[in-house]
This record gives sequence, structure tokens and C-alpha cells, in this order.
Amino acid sequence: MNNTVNLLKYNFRQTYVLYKKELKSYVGSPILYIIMTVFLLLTGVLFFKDFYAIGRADMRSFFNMLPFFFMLLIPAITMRQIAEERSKGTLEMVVTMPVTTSNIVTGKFFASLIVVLLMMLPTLLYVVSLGLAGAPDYGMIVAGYIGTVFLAAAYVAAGIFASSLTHNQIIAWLIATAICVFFTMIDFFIQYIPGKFFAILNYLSASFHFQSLAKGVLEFRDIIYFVTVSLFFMILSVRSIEERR
Amino acid sequence: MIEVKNLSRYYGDFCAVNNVSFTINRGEITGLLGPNGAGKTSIMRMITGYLKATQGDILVDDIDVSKDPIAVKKLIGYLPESAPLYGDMIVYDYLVYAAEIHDVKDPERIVETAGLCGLIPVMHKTIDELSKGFRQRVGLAHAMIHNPEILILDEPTNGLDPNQITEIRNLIKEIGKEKTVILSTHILPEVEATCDRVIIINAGEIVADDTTENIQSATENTLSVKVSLTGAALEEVCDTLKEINGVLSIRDSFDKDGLVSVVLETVSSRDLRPEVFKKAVEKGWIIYDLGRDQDSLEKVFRNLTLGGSNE
Repeated sequence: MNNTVNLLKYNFRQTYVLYKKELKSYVGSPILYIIMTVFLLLTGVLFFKDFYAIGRADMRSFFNMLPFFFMLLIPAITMRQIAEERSKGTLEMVVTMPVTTSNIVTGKFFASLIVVLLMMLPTLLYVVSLGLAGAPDYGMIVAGYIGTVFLAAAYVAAGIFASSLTHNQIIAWLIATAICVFFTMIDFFIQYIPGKFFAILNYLSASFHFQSLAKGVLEFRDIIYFVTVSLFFMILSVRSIEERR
Repeated sequence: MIEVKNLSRYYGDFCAVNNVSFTINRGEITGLLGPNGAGKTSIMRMITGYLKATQGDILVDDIDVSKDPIAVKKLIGYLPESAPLYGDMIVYDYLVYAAEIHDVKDPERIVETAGLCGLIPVMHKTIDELSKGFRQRVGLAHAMIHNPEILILDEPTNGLDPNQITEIRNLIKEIGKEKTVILSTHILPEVEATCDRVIIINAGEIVADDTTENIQSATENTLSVKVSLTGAALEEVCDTLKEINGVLSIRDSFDKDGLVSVVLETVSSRDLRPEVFKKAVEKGWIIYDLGRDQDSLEKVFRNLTLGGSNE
């Protein structure tokens, strides 16, 4: 009941103020730049391996691998969000200001999502290289980036939920990674289970929905999937902040 | 006005606050006094909406904290214990952030609050670089930025040096002229120095709730007189003073380089200082100090929180 009251009173201005503060604190933190560098190195190696060795002018292997990078890196971006506020006691300051828990969670969610997208920004150079070298299918690439936004949103929400459970950032990272690994790799188990469960595993798999979006088919059910997962973890985060204090 | 009715809070099986009720009127400075772990912080956290009450109601200006927490939070400025802050932010940015959250539109208000809390010289420093005293003041500025009607301060002078303590106390007294202030402390002189009213809490329950003067006088069925003198040995002084009619006992007696100090517990109906003086003159002692002992609140506190075993 409390949640419905909070939702009805949702105040976007408060979320915006919190979001701005979180984004500033990301930009000022060295962790962000370390993660960005790691991400660029990994994807760069992968991209240019295909680019030169195979001579393919597309980003398929890049988008194929993206969920695997995200499942490790996004938890590292989100791990401090609520865990640090718990350990430093600042959560008490925020919670006792006139903001709702949903304001706090959505502010952190959007700040982290923007940071992930900023991390993706330099990969546009790959697109430019492709354009210079050949004639890529730009439609596919745009679809890939749209899928990336949804995938990132789901993993960021999961990461924030993990961060809301503990005051230890390492534990937050481990929990978030475990959740993201589950959503990334669940469809690997298809070969070990009876055929009638295929659909369920596929439906649960973030990789499956992401690849489907990245193929250029903007299907409603994939979008619904990512929105549901994101909302699910955000509501869980709100609950976990409200209950565990 | 703050009304707390039958408030209880359990952490699992542990009862931190047990059926506490009180009302605080506008313009009062109230001290929540109690030993560490008495439940002061829990009570404050429930009023500010950080903790949920297990039982009972809290009304702030007739608004129920559990029904409309946002409205209550707008009325309250809160300084949590040890002033948790974002260490990576610059003081100025932090105050801007606090002002934005509270929808304070006037940029002058930030400068005004910073001035009031003595933050002007550190406005462009990172919070992590600040000393404990300045951090505490940033926390106080955060609590005051929206000019709230009610200020709730959890151990506001904790960890400060004596000069800073005096500054913060004066600031609180200044604010308390117009606003309602609740502060918690385990330091007695703080209550005597700043509060109009004291609520003494022990093991989650209110053991006394009255004006500072009333609480002080309530214990004065015995009265302490402190005297320091030279010219005689400690035993002789004790033996002589014991003979005065009305002296119940002598405590805290010591002899430091010939200066003998004793505290006489006496009946409160009569001031025995003239008799002590006369005795001293008669014996040819030289009095350095003669006065009523000022620790009466400390005595109440000791009696109440140690289960009143001396009563």
C-alpha cells in the first residue's frame, strides 16, 4: 500500500535533483574511468580482431559479446550506489529529506544508466571505422544500440537492487554479477533440459531478448521483457531500502 | 508541536524504545538525555521518518508521520549522529544540493545559512578535507537550509573541541528562540547550558520529563556544599565539619598539597554555608572556595539510570 501512495505522489523534480547529484559524483570518481578503459580495451580487441582478420564489416560479434561484458562491468558501476550510502550513513540524510524512496532509486537508476551509455559512446568510433572501410548495415547497428539501452537498463536495475541489500560494495558486486550471469547465460542450459522448458528459459534470458532486438526486429515482447525486469528490480530496491532500516 | 504517543520500537526481540509518550511545544529547546544505547537515536529516527515505529503514533503539527512522511520531513531539519555527508562533494555544492531538494529557490539562503554556521571560509573545500567541527557545521547547515520549524539534532556537539562546543551551543540557543529544537546528548552540562526542558531516557523508557530547573530542584532534598580550605589536615576537617548539625555525610574528600577539599551532603531545608564559614573562622582555617555543588542534574541522572539504588 505504501508503494502505491509513493507512486501517486511521484515528484519528478526531486528525482532530477538526486539524479544530477549522482551523475556528478560518478564523473568525479576514478572508478568510472577505470571501468571505461577496461571496457574499451576488451571490446576494441574483439572488434578489431573481426575487422582485420575476418574482414567483416559488421558489429555482430561486438553485440554478441556485449551481455557478457555488461554482466561484469555494470555491477561494478552500480555497486557503490546504495551500499556506500549505507556504510557511510548518508542514507539516513537522504531518506529524512522530503523525497520518497522511489525518487532515490530512480535518481540512481537513471544516473547509472547514463554512465553506461557514456561508456558506450566511444564505441561509435567502431561504427565510423566500419563506414570508412565498407558499407555496413546501419539499420542493424542502430537496432543493436537500441537493444543496448534496454539491456543496460535491466542490468543497472539489478545492480542497484544488489547494492541496496548490503553495506559492502564487494558483496553488492558479487550479488549483482550473480543475477546478471543468470540472465545472460540461462539459455546455455537449453541443451540439458526437456524441450518443453525451452520457451521458459528463452523467455527468461536477457541475451535471447537482446539478440532478438539487435537483429533489427523491434519486437514488443522483447521491450516488455526489459521494462518488466527493470521495474521488478527497482520495486525490489525500494522495498529493500524501506524494510531494511 | 510534536506529539509522541505510546511509541515503541523493537529490533527483533530487543526493545529499544518502550511505550514512550511526550509532547513538545513550539519554541521549546528539549534535551533527550540518556546513556549511550538508551534509545535517544531511535526516538529521533522515528520522528524524522527514518525508522518505522513498531507501535504508537507520532504527530508533527497534527500530521501523522506514518501517513504523510513527506509533509513531516518538510517541517523538520535533521542532523543525524556524527553528521554523515558525501565526502567527495564541495561544501558549496552540497548546500546547493540540499537547497534544491528542499525546493529553496532563494540563492541568498545558502549564503545566509553558511554564514550562520560559520562555513564561509570553507565553502570551496571538499567535505573530506574538513575537520570534525566543520563537518558537524555542514550537517547543521544542511538541517537548517530550508528554515524548518523543527530542528532535530542527534548529539550535535559530539566530537567537537571546547571552543566549537560553545559555538554550536550558542547557535542552538539562538535558533531555539524561534524554533522548536530537540537535541540528544549524554553530556549533562549540555542540557543545563542549552535546554528549557529535559526528557531523561534509560533503557528505552522515560524516567523523568520536566523543565531543567524542576528536575534540578527535585533532587534537592539533599544539598551538596563544596568547600576547599587550608590550615588543617584532612581528617581534622572531616571530623570538625561532621559535627555541624544537618550534615549527612562527607564525600569526595581529598588533600592536594595542603589544600583540603570536601563535599558535604546536607539537608536541603537549611543552607549550611554560614556554619561552615563560622567553624573555619573559629579554627583559623583559610577558605579558598565555598559553594553549592552544581552537579545536581548529574545526581538525578545517576539515581534514575542506575535503577535508583541509592534511594
